[in-house]
Amino acid sequence: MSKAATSPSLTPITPLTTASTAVADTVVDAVLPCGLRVLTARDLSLPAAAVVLALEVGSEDDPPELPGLVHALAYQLEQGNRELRPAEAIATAQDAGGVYSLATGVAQVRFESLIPASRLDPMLWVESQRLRAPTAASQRWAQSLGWAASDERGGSRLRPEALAFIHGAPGLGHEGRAVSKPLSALSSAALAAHLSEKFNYARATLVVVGPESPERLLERISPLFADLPQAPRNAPERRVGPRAGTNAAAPPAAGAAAPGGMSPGTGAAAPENMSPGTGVAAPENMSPGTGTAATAPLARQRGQTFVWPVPPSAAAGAWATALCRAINRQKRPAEPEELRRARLSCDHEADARRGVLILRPSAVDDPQAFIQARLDRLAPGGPDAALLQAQAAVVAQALRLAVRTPAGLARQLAMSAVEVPPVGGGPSFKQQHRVDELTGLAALGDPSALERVAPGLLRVEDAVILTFPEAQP
Amino acid sequence: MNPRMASRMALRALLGGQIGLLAFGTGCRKREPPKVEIFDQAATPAETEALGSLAPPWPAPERVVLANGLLVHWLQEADTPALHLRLILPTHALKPALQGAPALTAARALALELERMSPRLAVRVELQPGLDRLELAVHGAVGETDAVLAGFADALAVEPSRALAQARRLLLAELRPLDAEALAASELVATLRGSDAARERIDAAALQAVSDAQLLDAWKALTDPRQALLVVHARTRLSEVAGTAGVTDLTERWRQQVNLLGGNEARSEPQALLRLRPKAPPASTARHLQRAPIAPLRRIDPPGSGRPLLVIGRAIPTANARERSLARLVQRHLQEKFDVRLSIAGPWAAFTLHLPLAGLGKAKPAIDLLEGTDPPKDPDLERQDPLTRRLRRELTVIRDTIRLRPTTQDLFQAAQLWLGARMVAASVAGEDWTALWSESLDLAATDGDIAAALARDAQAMLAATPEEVVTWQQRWLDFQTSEPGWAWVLVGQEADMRAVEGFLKPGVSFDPPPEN
Repeated sequence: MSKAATSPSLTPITPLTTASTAVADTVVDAVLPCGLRVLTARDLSLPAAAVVLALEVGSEDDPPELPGLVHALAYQLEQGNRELRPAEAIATAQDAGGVYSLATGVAQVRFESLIPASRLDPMLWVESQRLRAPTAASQRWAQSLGWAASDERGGSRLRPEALAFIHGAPGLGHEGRAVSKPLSALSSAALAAHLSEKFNYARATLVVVGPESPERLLERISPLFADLPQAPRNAPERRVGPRAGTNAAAPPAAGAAAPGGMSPGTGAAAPENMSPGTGVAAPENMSPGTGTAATAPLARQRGQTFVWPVPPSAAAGAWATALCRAINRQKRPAEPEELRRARLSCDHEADARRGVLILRPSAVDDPQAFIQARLDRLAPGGPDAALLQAQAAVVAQALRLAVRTPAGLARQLAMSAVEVPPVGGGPSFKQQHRVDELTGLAALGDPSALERVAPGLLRVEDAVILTFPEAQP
Repeated sequence: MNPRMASRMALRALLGGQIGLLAFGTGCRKREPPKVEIFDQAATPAETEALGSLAPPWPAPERVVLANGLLVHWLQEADTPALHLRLILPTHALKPALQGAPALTAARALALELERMSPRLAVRVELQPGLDRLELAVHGAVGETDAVLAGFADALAVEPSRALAQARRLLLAELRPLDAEALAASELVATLRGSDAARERIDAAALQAVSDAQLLDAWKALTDPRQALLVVHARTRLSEVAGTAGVTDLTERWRQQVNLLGGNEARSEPQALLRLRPKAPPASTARHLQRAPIAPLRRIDPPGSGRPLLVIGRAIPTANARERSLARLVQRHLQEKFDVRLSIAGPWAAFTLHLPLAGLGKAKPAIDLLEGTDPPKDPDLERQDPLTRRLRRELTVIRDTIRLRPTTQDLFQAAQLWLGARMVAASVAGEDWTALWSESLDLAATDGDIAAALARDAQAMLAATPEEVVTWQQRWLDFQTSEPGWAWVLVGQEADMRAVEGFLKPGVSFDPPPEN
C-alpha cells in the first residue's frame, strides 16, 4: 500500500469563515489528546447533521477462542453505562425525528445517526459517553447476544478462510457473526476487559457533518472529551495481501500498530482447514516476489477464481468499483483472438477495510493469460483505457451524489483511510483536507491514480487464485 | 430534357424552396429569453434563521412564465451535484369525467415517457399522487439540465396513445383492491368536499371503464402547460439557462393541445397557488356529532372480510400559518395516543380520527406476574361488555384527552419531532428541495410566502402555547362544543354493524363521569 493511499496531502489550517467558499469542500481532521480522531465537515443544504463514531475494530480482531465477540460487543455498546440508560443513543436520535443505525464489519464498527441540526449537542454528548465503561451486566450481555444471533450472516461470495488468505489476516478466517457458547459463558469482568481493550476512543474516529463550519464543529466536540486521560492514537492500519513483494511499498508508519500476522511478509499461511481432506495444508504455489500469482487450493471450489485485496481507502474502493464495471462491459477484442464463448465476470465486494475484487473467467484454456490480456487493455494507453475512464466518471458521479447528504458524506469520511500521524505530531494535531481527497473523488479524476491508490489491481500476478486442490499422487 | 431528370430537378427546386423558407422563417423568428423574476416580495428567511427553525436555507428563488404558459419556480444551490425537477399537475380544474382514474393513467403515461430518458441520462422518475394534484419528480445529475429539459419536451410533445395503453396495463397490474381504510377515507373526503366518492377512488373496475378517448382527453388537459408548475432544483440559475436549447425546446415543443378548461384564452396565470388550488375551500358540512343537525352516518360494505372501522373527520380552515401550525401540532400530540391524521391542502385541511372497532376499548387483561401468562378469557365478561359500550368508552377517553391541557414540554417535543423528522426524511431522500417546495406550496398563503412558509410554519409551531391549543381543540375538535363541519363513515358488514350503527345514528354519547 502506498503512502498516498492513506495520507492525503496536508495543508496548514487556515481561518475558516462562513463566507469562504472553500468551507464546503473542507474537512478538518484533528486528533484529540485522548487519542480520538475527529473529522468535521460542513453541509448547508438542510438543517440536518450526521454523527458517525467509527471504531477500527471488527470481527477480524476476535480472539480465536471467542469467534463473534466484536460483533456482539458492538450491540453491548447500546446497553448504556453509568451515564447512558440502555438504548439512550437510539432514543436520542429517534425521539428527535432522526434515524440511527449500527454497522458492523470485519474491520470496522460504526454507530451512525442522522439528526436535526438542533439536536447535535445531545447526540455528540452521547457519543462522548458511549465508550466510557460500558455496562457488563450479565443480563444485558445475554440480551446483546440475542440481538447478535438474530443478525444476518455475512453475504460474501468468498469463504472466510479464503478471505483470510487473500488479505493475509488470519483473524478473518471465521464467521464473524457467530454467537457461540464461550461468548455466553463470559464473566462480567472478562466482558469489561474485552470492551475496554477493543472499544476505546484511541482507536475511534468521530465524524460530524453539519450546517456549521468545520472549525466551529470541532470547537463543540473537543470539550466533551477534555476530561479523558491522554492516550496515544492506536487505530490499526490494516495492511493488504499475502505477498510481501507487491505491497512492500508502504513502510510501517510510526505509531500505527499493525496487528500480528497482518502485515505482508509475515508468513500469512493459509488456514489449515482451507482444504479439508485433501492433505494440502498450505498453498504451495505461494511464492512471493516470483511474478506468479499465489494459489490457494479450496475444497468445493469450481474453476479458478482470481481475487485481489483492495487497499483500505476510499480511493482504492472507488477505483475497484470503476475497474469492475469496466471489466463487465469489455467487448471481445479482435486481437489477441479469444475463444467465442470466453467470458469474464467481475464482482467488487466493497468493505471499508477488507474489500476484494473477484474475477471469474469461463470457457478459456489459459485463464491467467486471458485475464492479463483483458487487464492490459484497460491499462493507461490500452485500447479500453477510455472505457475505464468512462466508468470512473460514472462512479465519481454516483459518489458525488452519495456525499451530497450529511449522512452520505459522514459515512464516506468514516471509511476513508486510517490516518498516518505526522512524525512528531504529538498526542494532538490538526490538519485540513479537501473532501475530494478523503472520499476518493480526486483520485477518480486522475487516470494514473489507479496504480497509485490500488497497486496491483491491473496485474494478474498480484491476484490470489482460488482453485480446487490437485489430487495427491 | 429527360422527363425523369426534369421531375428530379423540379423536386430539388421544391425542396430547396422549402428549406429556404424554413431557414428564412427560423432566421426571422424573434427569440427573446423569457423574463425571469426573483421571488423576493416577502423576504426569504436568513440562513441562520432558517436553519434555527429547522427549515431549508433557500436563497430567493427565481420564477418565470414561459411562452407556452408554463410557470417555472427555480431553486439554485451552488455546488450541488444533483438535479431535481418536479412537474406539478393540478387536477382540481379537470372535468369530473377526467378526474381520478383517467388523470392518474395520463400521469403514469407521462412518467413512462420520461423514463425513456433513463438509459441516456441516468435519471430516476417518480410519480407522486397528492391532494388535488399529481406530481412527477425527475432526479438526475447536474450538467444534464439542458438535456433533461429537452427530454421533458420530448415526453410532452409525443403522441401519447401507446404510453397511455401501457400505463393502463401497468396500473391494472399494480392496483390492489381498496382496503377498509382507503374506502372510508375516500368516502369521508368526498363528504367533506361535497364531491362524488367514486372520483376519490381508483380501482381496477374504474380504470377498465375509462375509454381511450377519455384517456387522451385526460392527457391533453392534464399536461396543459398553462395549468402546470415546474419546480427545479439545480446548480445553475434560471437566468443562466433561460436562453438555452433545453428551455427553448420546452417552450416551443410543449404546447397546450386542447381547450378544455375555462379561461384558456386568457393570459396564463402567473401565481402558482392560483393554478394549484381550487378557487374556494369546500363548504362546511354544517353538521355535528352530538347535537342537531347530526351528521348522517354512512356505512360501506368492507372489501372481503376486513375488520370493521369507524372514521370520524372534519374540514378545518388553515388559511394562515398559525392555524396550520396549531392543526399540525394538535394532530402530532394526539397521534401519541390515537390514530389521528391531517392532510393540509392550502386554506383547508382534512382532520380524521380512525377507530378500528375490533378490540376497541377492551381493558388490558391483568397479567399474572408470578405465572407470566394471561388469565383465561371469561365469556360472561365479554357478553357484559358489548362493542357499543366499548365504543362509548373509547369516545369518552378521546373527548377527555382533547379537553386536557397539554404541557409546554409536551407541545415542544411534538413540534421538535415533527419538524426534525421532516428535515431528516428530506435528507435521507436525497435532499431534493423540490419535494420540500411542494410542501411549502401547501403551507403558503400567497406565492410570495412560499419560500418562507416552512420556516414560518416551524416558528409558529414552536411558539404555540398550551392555552392556544386548548382553545383551538375546543373550537374544532371537541365532540360536544366544536363548530359544525363533521362527517363520519362506518365500514363493516351490515349484520355486524347494525347495533353500532343504531348506537351512533342519534349522535355520540359518553360515559357518565365516575361518581366520587
